[in-house]
Amino acid sequence: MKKKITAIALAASLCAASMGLAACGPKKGGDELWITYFKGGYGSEWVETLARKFEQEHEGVKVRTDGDTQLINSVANMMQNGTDYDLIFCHDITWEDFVAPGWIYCLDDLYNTKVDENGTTFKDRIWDEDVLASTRYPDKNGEYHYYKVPWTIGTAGIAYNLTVMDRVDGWLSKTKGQEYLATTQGGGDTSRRWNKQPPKDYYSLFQYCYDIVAAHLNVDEGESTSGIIVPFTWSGVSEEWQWDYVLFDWWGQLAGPETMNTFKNFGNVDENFNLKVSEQGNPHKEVYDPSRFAVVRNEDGTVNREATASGNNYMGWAEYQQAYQLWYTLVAGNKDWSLNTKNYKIDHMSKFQNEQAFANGLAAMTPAACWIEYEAKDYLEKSGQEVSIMPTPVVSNVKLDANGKLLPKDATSWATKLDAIHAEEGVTEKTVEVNGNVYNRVSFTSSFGDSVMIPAKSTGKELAVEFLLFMQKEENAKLFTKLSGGTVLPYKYEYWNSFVEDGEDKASAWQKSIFEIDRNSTKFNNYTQHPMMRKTSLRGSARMTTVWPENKYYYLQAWQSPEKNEPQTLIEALYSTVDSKWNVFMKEL
Amino acid sequence: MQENIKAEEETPAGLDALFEEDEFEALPERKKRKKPSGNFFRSRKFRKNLFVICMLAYPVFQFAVMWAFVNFDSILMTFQKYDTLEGWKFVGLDNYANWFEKFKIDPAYKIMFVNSALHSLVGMFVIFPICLIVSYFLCRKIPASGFFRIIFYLPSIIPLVVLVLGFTNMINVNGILGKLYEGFNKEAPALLVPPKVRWTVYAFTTWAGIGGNLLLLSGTIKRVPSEVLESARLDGVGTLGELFRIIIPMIWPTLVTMFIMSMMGIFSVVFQPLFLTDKLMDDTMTIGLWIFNKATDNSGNVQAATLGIMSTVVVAPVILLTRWGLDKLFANVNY
Repeated sequence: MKKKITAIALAASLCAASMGLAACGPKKGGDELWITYFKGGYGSEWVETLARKFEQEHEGVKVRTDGDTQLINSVANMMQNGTDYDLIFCHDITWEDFVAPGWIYCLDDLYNTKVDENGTTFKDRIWDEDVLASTRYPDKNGEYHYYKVPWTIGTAGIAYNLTVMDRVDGWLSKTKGQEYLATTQGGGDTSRRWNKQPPKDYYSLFQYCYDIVAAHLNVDEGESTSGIIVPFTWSGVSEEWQWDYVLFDWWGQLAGPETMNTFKNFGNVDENFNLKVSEQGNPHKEVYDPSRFAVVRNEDGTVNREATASGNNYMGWAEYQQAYQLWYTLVAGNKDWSLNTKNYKIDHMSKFQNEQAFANGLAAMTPAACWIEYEAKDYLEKSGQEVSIMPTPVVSNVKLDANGKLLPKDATSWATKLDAIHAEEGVTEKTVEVNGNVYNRVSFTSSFGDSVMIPAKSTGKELAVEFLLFMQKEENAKLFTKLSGGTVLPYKYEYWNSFVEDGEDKASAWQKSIFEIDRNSTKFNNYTQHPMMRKTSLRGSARMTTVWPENKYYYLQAWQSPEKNEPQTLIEALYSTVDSKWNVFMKEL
Repeated sequence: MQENIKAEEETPAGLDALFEEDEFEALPERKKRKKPSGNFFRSRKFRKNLFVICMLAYPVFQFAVMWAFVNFDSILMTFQKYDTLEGWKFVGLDNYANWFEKFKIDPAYKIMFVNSALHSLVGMFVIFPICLIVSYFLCRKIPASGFFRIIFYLPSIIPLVVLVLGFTNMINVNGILGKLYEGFNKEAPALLVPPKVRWTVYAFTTWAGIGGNLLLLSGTIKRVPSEVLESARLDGVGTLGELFRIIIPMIWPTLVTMFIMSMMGIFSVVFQPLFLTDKLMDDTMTIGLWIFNKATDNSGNVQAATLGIMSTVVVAPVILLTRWGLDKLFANVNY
């Protein structure tokens, strides 16, 4: 009997102890704000600093911040089952799924809160209408409410190494460089130098690549064991999708952001190119049709809006195929322009090896988003190299032969001629002039899926809302930008002055480029709430949205086997696949 | 004595005469057990039952919640669809019909099933025989068998992520494989991208899967009586004969169980392809990985549950039939 009692008592005490251990950790107090955030390219300094500042301005309040590199895998569980965290900063969250079950806190009050004496509301502080639209979602009754705050407005494109560019200029100044410049491929102008200015258009980009190849520079000055500098490095194993940033910018140049908005909403858009919910049950697969041009052009290169609306009405994938052709011609068509040394190979490199290769000057350029400078800062500090990011070169009268090869700028005959949409209103701050033509500057927004949410079961909702109001203030938003390496928040503030100290702008070349692109480009993105994207297998393995059907990428295989992945063949095959599976997708809708 | 005996024969009451009342004291009356006075909950029976209930409560609760409810809910889910605005809706057999259509038109799903089936076949006909042969020779006390036992078993106790890291570094251009190719002045193949990545995953699961069964098989083989083996050797049975005609028949039930477990490789390869390639690929997709990937949102959950049920309906009879057939091959031996 005694033994049995002892056994039960022991078992019970073990259970109690294990339960206590399972819930170990400090208990949350009443005046505490708990923040969890994705710990990635933006670092942790921004949240730590803002947290301490918030504590100073709110006496008695304690802020706890926990970074998690795998936060995305636990967000849904946290929202559903409750968490001590009051604010969640994360990327690629399908927060729309949390609305119907009531797991996410409605932020209508926050968005209607006045933030200054002029009556400006939080809503008014948001970057633009497109960004604002992405924060709303209909409840069960079909009424739209605000549920999230966007976290960042990212910029992406082609990052380029300024130190390498200087070395190329140095070579161009020497005898062999001068001889090269005098040739046709050199351009004929012996005074031509880059002077840290990025290529402005597609032909200039090609010219830069020719210069790099002709220079044949050792990675290490003097005797080199690291090989010769090549134009491009990218990770085909894990990050080939970063070429999307360049591709989408070219697509935006050729077809306009309206086409992107129509595409991502499967043709179900209103006059402002926002999703028309009443029609979303009838998506159009023609958005994937490469035989259709989305826009009709006037003689002067601008969009003929009437003809477009009465014609294909911004639905078609021909311009996308053209954008892919531009990538194909540049990268797949010049296989040896991509890094392929003993230790760094496109089909072997991990993401970090790629950043290392770029930071160490093994290649002049890499497709990248705004966080790469911060992420690679250790490599850059060690190598002492300087990097920047270029506005995606403009597609200005690009001439291609029947095989997709680039023809000279002054060629008199061609198979294909690609030209970006010309600006309707002439020169403005969001245009660029190339070869006497004025083009709209467009820039794809990376990190559009980054979100800030408050769980419905949070016990510190008021504090969380206070923190968001605190964060949007001019000085605090600038602090975020400064401490995250130049990342921009989705508020209207002078982010370009974030690094100004004592009248001196201490932003790096990279950060200045980011700001310049953001200020002077029309931003667009591929985020959509269309159920065809969100509910069906068309999304593939993408967490939120994807342009490529089923989220499959073809950059690496195109580079490995260009002849099997020619643009027309590939894009037509994709449309055929979408067409054959359309019934399945509709049933999943 | 004779008188006594005579007395017994003469009178039926002889025995009684032998034991006269006065001679022996009657045994005291057995005390009747006292019934508990009023309180059932303090009774011995109740306390015994209570103990049993307490000890079983947690495992029964665990089973009810983690197995019964989860499976019941999953099956129920396959007849529903999730709408972000309206919540769950009953849709009958639509999800199943959709799956058949997907399988017909999308080659990626066929690749997924083929991959999973191949993993199962690799488990059954590559990993399992290797385990058996290695276990046998380790039990025969080959030189350094203890060391080899540790080496073979190590991948089973090292976390998968670390194992993958080691493996990828090994096959990387800067790793052992890269150096080998460099020695022959050749370029190391790209083993983590299509088309070779598929075989890389099989190679990894084989390399990492050997140790798991080793311990169990070694223990089972050691239990075979040494007298039987000695007798067989005296009769001139060689190594192969000993393995195939003595050891295997004698440990057959364990082998059958482990073979069936290897068949489960059709579902158990989940994270290996993802960790190796750092992304989801058609070439390396398996049923388990697909289900894991889909089970992050409600609409994906439904598809994942439907695939799980359909796969179970197909695979379960195959496994049961295989087990029944294998059990018939050799009679069970007790020793």
